[in-house]
Amino acid sequence: VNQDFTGRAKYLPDVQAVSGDLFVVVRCQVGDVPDTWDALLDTGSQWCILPPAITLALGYELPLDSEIRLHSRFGHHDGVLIRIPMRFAADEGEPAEVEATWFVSPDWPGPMVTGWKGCLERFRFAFDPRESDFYFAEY
Amino acid sequence: MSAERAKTAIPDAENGDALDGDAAEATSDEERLAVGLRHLRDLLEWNQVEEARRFVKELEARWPDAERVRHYAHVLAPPTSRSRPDVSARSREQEWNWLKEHGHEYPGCWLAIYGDRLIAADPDLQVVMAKTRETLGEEGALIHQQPGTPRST
Repeated sequence: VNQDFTGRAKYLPDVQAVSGDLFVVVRCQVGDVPDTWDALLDTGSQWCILPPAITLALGYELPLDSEIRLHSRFGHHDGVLIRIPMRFAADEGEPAEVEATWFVSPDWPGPMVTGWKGCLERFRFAFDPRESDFYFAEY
Repeated sequence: MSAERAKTAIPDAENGDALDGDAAEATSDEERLAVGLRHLRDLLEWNQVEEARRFVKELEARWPDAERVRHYAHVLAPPTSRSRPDVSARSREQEWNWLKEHGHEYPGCWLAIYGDRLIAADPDLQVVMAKTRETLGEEGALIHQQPGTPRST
C-alpha cells in the first residue's frame, strides 16, 4: 500500500468562490503563462474546464461554434475541446504536467476545473486531509 | 435525445457500408463522414468517452486527412503525464495567507499576489494580467478571483 509521489502541494478545502463553495482547490499552471490559478479538482467532471475570462487571458480565442454540449449543475453549455498543457505546481519536489483536454465555452459561469478525462486519469495522486496536502506523480 | 438514437447512427468504418438509421441514408463519402462525426459528438455528449476514443480511431483510419477527425483524434487521445524536475518547487503559503487576511477587501476583483504582496486587483482579468507581467516579468503570481460585487470607485 505504500506509494511514492514526486510532488507535493497544499490544497485549499472549502473555498468560497464566485460560483459557490469548492471542496478541493489546487494550484495549477496552464499553457506557457507562468502564473498559477485556483482550480477545482473534480474527479466527477468529465473534462477540465477553462472559464472564458481565463481562456482569453491565456491568449486563446473563445469558440464561435460548438462541437460538444456539456451538462453540469449550471445547466447546458455548448463549447469545444482543446488541448493545452496543465501543470500541478509543487511546494516540494517536482511539478507534474500533462497535455490536458479542456472544455471551453463562452458562457461557462463556473470555476476552472481539473477533470478526469484527458487529465487526472493520467496522474497518480493522493490527499492528506489532516495536513491539506496534495501528492502527485506521473502515471 | 436518447442513447438509442446514437446507436442507430454508427457508420461501418471498416467497409464503407452504413449500418442503419442516419448512416443508411448517407450515400456519399462526405455524408458518411458527417454521420460519423455526428455520432462521435453524440457519444461525447452522453459521456461515453472511451467509446468515443475507440470510434475516433475508426474515423481516423478511414478519413486520415479530414481536419475534424484529426482534431477529435488529438483532443481525445489519452495524454502522457510527466514530472518536471527542471521546474523548481516554490511554496505559495505566503500568497494564500495574504488572501485569507486581505482577499475580502477586494470583492469582485481578480487578484494577482506574489509572496506577501498584492501585485494587481481589478474586475477585469486582462488588466490584472498586464500589470502582473509589467511588474513580475517571467515570475508567476497566484491569480485568484474574489467573490462579491466590485466596489464602485
